[in-house]
Amino acid sequence: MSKPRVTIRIPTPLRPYVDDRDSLDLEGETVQELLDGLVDRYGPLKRYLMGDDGKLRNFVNVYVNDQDIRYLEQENTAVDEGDTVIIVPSVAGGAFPHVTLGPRPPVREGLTQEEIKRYSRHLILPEVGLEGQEKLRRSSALIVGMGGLGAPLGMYLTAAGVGRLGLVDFDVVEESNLQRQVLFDTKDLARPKLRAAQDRLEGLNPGVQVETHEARLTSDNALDILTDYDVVIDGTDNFPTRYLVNDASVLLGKPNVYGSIFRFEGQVSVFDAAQGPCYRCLYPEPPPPGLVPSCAEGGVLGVLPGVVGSLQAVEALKVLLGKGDALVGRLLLFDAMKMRFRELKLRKDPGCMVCGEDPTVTELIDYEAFCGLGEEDALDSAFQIDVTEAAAMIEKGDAMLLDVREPMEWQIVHIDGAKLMPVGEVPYKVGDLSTADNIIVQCHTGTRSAHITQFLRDLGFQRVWNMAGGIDAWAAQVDPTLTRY
Amino acid sequence: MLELPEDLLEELRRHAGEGYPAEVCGLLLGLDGEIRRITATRRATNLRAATTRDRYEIDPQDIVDGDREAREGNLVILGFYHSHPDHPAAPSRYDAERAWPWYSYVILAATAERAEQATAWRREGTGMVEESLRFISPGKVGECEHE
Repeated sequence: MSKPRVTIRIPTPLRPYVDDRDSLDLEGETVQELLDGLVDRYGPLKRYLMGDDGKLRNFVNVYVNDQDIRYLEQENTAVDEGDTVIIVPSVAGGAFPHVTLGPRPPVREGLTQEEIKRYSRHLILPEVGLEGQEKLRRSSALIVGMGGLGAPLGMYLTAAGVGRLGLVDFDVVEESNLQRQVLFDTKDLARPKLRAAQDRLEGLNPGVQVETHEARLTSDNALDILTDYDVVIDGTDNFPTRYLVNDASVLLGKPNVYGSIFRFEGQVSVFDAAQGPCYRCLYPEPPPPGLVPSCAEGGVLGVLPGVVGSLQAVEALKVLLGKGDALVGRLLLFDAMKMRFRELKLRKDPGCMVCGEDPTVTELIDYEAFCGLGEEDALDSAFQIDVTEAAAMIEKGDAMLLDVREPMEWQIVHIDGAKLMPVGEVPYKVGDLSTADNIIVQCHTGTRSAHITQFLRDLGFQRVWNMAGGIDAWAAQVDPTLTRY
Repeated sequence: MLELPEDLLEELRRHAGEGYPAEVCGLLLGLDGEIRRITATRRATNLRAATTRDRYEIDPQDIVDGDREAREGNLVILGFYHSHPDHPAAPSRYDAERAWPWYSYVILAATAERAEQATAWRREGTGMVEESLRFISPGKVGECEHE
């Protein structure tokens, strides 16, 4: 029996390679067979459609009739007599990165007179010198997250003359940032962080090319963004992005200068899978969501990210210069209250799922799901009430309000009549609550209280609801006299 | 040389303004020749809109649909447009890396107030060269077709 005969539509840019035809008829049983037949006949077409491994390039989409084969069986999708296979170019671009075309500055030898003056304190260090300073100018670094850590990182690396500095962030400057994110000014409030950062850094050192990636780092864009830099610096404040940065750095073979902060304590290390462990060797899996509060929930001493970010900047410069003993295989712990540094030895885990001998993670995954996030959204909507419903119930004396924030937050602001029971105490004080009462659980914005609502429901409390949006939404919608923080 | 009727330019500006501060994108349909004449534009879904303000990727389904629409009207997809919110109407490095040869790429600089400047580009080798873009009054396209 002969094979199905199928029409292949060719997009205009590729028509010169098929005798200027807009479509061709070919025989084959699967998409792969048709494409193989096509490139057999028109050899020069191959480099546009397939990589060296013979697989379809990711900037080419293929449709069978009106369906994308990604949602069918990829290249193995079967075709029938009379089907149309359409080759669709993937069309993408965008202002990002803020580098208009062309001006990657040409590589030049030596330093200018201005550069010699600017970097003179580096140049007289034997470990840097002219050679090292030129090396920095030819190098590039990517800072993921322009928050507390990103601020000193951005300023010191720019001042030091790293040639190309990439910044990744998606937020705007908020008032609560200014207590520690010294890169920003009061007049920057509500501006996108990267626009403000770019102005500040270009003012500090016009010789540095600042590239802004105004995006949330995701599994879709991480490899594209990271691949262009010599070193990756992790200034993130959440677990999904931290695992994403780690895994992408390992997959690309880039050193990852890690830092994290909480309240009065910080951690720093250099994860370079070629020489030592990665973040996953240290923490194969994230803690359950809600267990480790974020800085927004737990607070942080404003100067702490200044210390930790500066330590990361030191490590990044050493990595770029290739000098000194990098913090590879060592985790530096800093306790600001005790004013003490400690160091832990880290070993590479041969069973590590990313950098081990037989890795199971060989491409980027869904990190939100991996970190168990999205689960508070999964709190049954029947267990959520909004602030106006909550206010009505409390007004009528139908419900008690359980505030699960920390005592310091309670001191800033609380709702009259609420009962304070911080998250960590709930498991021990559950006996103080009655399953006969209607209980509305409340925190700052509704995340912690969602976990407690689920926790209590799991224990058999049937009359527990989460107050969506927390005291912040209450202050916005019910009682505007309350302080917001 | 690319010709764009002024009413279609207005539509592109409107689209860019409505989408601001996100990037918007779409298709340019028309007649190929020594002078490329755009006769219709089509808004497309930006697949990257959820994750970034500074990038676009046109939903391939829009290209499949646009290609069908073009064929039915004896037109071709001449190229694509996208906006650069708060950025100049010049291709970024990423634009150049991802550009296909042959197509015309129209870029609109957009601000919160409005989209003003529009430029056109084509990929040559590994870079982008500017293509001259002429704005014509709407009636003129019809006249040209009958020449």
